[in-house]
Formats: sequence, C-alpha cells, structure tokens
Amino acid sequence: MSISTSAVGNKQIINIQGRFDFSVQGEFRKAYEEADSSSRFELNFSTADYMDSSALGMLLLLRDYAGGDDAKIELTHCRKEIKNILEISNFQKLFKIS
Amino acid sequence: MQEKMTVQSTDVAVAKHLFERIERMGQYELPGLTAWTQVLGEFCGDLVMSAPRPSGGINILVGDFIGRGLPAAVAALPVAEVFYGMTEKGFGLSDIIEEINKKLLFILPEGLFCSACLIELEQEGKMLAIWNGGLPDLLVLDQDSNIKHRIPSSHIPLGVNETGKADLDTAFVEVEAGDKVFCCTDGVINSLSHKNEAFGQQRVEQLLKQGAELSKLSGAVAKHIINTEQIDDMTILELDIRAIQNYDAELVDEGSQISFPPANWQVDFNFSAEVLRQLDLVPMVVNILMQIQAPHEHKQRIYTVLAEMCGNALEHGVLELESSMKESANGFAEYYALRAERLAELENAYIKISLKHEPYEQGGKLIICVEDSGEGFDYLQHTKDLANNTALCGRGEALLQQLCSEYSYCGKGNISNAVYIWAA
Repeated sequence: MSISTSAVGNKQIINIQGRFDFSVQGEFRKAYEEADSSSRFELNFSTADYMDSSALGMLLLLRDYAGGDDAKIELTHCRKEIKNILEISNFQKLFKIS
Repeated sequence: MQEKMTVQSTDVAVAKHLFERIERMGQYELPGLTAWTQVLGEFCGDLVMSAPRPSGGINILVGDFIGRGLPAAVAALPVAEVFYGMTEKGFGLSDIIEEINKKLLFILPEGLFCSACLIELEQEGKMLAIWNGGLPDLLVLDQDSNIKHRIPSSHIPLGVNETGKADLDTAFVEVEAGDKVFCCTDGVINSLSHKNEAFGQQRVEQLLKQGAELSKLSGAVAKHIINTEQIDDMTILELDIRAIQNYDAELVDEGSQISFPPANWQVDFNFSAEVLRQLDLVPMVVNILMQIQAPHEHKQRIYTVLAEMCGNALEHGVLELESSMKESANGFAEYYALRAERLAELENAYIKISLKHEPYEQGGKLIICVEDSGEGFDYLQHTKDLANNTALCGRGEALLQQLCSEYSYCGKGNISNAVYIWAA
C-alpha cells in the first residue's frame, strides 16, 4: 500500500510513502526482490513520514541482497528528520544519502 | 403550491450553502494555488480541496462527479470528510484514496462516480506525488512554458471498483521554482462552441505553451463557449511552484511556535491484550500527544521514540520474540510472521504507557514510561555494541539513546523510561 516501484533502465526505484516500519516489510522485500540483485537501487523518501529501527534493518537486508559492500543504493529526497535517524545509525557510511 | 415552491427553493438554498461550506471546510489559503471554476447549475459537481500535512507539505484533491446537481453535492460530503480528516491525521495519499473509494463505493448509486486527481506536494515543494483517476492529463510546465511532465489518468475513477494495490500507485515528478502544474476537469476539454466544436486537449496545451497562465486559459475557454449553453461544470487548477516553495518556508517557521506555554500534564494508558491485538498504539498515542502539547517539528522524532519503546514492550516483553531472529532476510520475515501469529492469540497481557510533561527551561520536558506484562530482562548485564551497525538488531536502542536525553530500564527490565527535551 505504501511502497511502489518503477524501473528505469537498470535502476529499480522504490517509493516509500507514509510509515516506513515493520508493517511494510513484506512489501518492501518484494519491491527489491523483483529487481535483479545487480541492479542499482534508488529509495525515494520524499513522501516517507516516519521510520524506526525495523526500517533500518530492512535497509540492511536490501544492502545485503544488492551485494553488500558492492551494492549500489541511493536514498534520495530524505527529509531532515529521516536523515537524522539514518545518521544516528551511521548509515551515511553504508548508503549514499541525499 | 406557492408554499411548496418556497420550501423547495429554501431547501436548495440551504443545500447550496452546505455544499459551498463543505468544499471550503478546510480549504487552505495557499499562495500559488489558484482554481478557476465555472458552475453550470445550482450545484457544482467539481471539487477542489487542499490541506496541509502535519509532517509538512500539502495535499490537494481535484474531483469531478459524473452526474451533477444535488447528488454530486451530497456525495462531496464524505469525500471532504475523509480528505480533510485523514490529511490532518498524517495519512499518505494511498490511504486517503483507498478510504474515499471505499466510502463512495458504499454510498453512491450505480452510475455515479468521481473522477479525481490527488496531488501530494512534499515539504520543500520539490517533489509531487500524483494519482490521476479519470481526469485529463495533468501537465507540468517549466519556466519557458514547455511541457516537462505529463501525468495521464492511469486509474479508474473513485467509487467504481474496489481498490487493489495497483490502483494506488502514484507517479512521482520533480519540480522546481518556475514550474507550473495544471490540472482540469473534462468539462473544460469537452466544452462546445456555438459551432459545436469541442475545446479539446490540444487547444489547452497550445495555449499553455504560449504562456503558462491560468487566466489566459480560462479566458480562452470562456470565449469558446460564448453564445452557447454550458454543458458541464468546468475547473482548472494552477499550482505555481515558486510561490509554494516560498510560502512553505514561512509555514515551517510558523509551525515552530507553540500555541500555549509549556504546561504540566500527564496522561496514562493501560492497554489490555484485547486492545493490543487490534490497535496500532503508536500513531494513536502520538496524535493524542500532539493534540495536547508538543512542537510540530519534533513529531517525527517523538514518533520514532514511541515506536521503539512500544515495539520493544510488545515484541520482546509481551510476545517474547528474540531479536536475534532478525539476522537474515528470511529470519526477518519469520520474525514478523511470528509476531502476527502470537499477537493474534494474545491473552492476559498489558502495556502501560505514561506521558508526563512539564515546563523545562525555555521549552518542555516529556517523560515517557512504558511498562509491559512480560518477564523483563537482566538489563544490568545488557551491553550492546552500539557501534556495530551491521548486525540486524540493536539499532533501536542506539536510536533511543541518541534521540532522548535520558533512556533507562527499571523494575525487572519490563519498564523503560525516556526523557525527551524540546527547546522552545
């Protein structure tokens, strides 16, 4: 319901809307598994309202799926508060955040 | 007979008044949002609504009921109620669309439905999420009046069918200062000249390309239908992104002012297993908290704090789930499947949440205490490697330590306390 996807070339864009927490874990997993693991991923946070630590876990699972240290994942349009949560966990070291 | 006529015209006047009020109920004076509406009869079947989102940004709805007159006006009521109510509570577009559709499906007679375009403008006015079900192409023009995005209708209108997941997909477009967004109802496209010639989508686009201005377009439509009978209500909406971006910045400043000085208050909740099984506690508690007293720009952080504390109480305390399960993708999914399973069967448990607020320096201090009926844990021995972010658990506690000025456990480990301080 709050996760939608679109593919542009080799890039899988995942749009996150509303709450990004455990309640969307199934949807989120489906959203990245429908793309090849060698794809580039963009997570569009422009309409994400809240996130919690289970969402952080989900991001790590995606990173793992997309090749760990070789993963090409960008988190885009993050609001200040969302960025704050990501940075508390030092996720800027693991993902490209803009 | 005379009397009956008078009664009817009073009814019409009252209904008309109601409809106008409904439409403007929460309508938000937004510089940059302009709507032109040409009504055919006593009642307008077209709707334009806009409301600010609590987390920043704005939701907009343009609707066109098939069928006009009183039925359309009556059906506008639940649409307004859902749109304004859910926007205020912080729901996203897809939830709002699903709910409006559900309501209309239930109340509308066969053959009456609502074509609509819902637009969510994110906080900084740089991104639009658009859902178009049955309205003409929504157009985004750049500062040189070139069409840079076109969002055609890709959904069936509201009130026709039950919504499936695919029906809720929204299109995302990036916008910048200088861009303008145009959306119109099909009354504009289909309006006929005295030669019986339709105005047409092509003419709309040609005119906009010559200078993207609402007044030019509406002037041309008005001229087109001169000496003819109008056949449908017509609405054109224009969003000026530059004006909205400028205004949005002001709005954020305004939001940081508190309505009354930080006060002393306390609320205690005691949720039984029956409630835990059915209710999503966190959004509800956050809403109550925000309604009493908490500065808006802290909402997201407070939400995360409560989500972590309540999540721990429910998942580890009450449902006795082990975080270590979450170390693989499959384990992660299993964890949440098990969570749902145990929650559905939950009996004889509780979660107590206490929120206590007091003035503190220039702002306020919120003390959150969450207690669960679980066995607790040995928190004195509990040391977590917070620096290790690659493990799939333990990050929740790191968040709590960072977001709160104090975070601790007491009792047998079944009580957690957090102190959250906000400056005025």
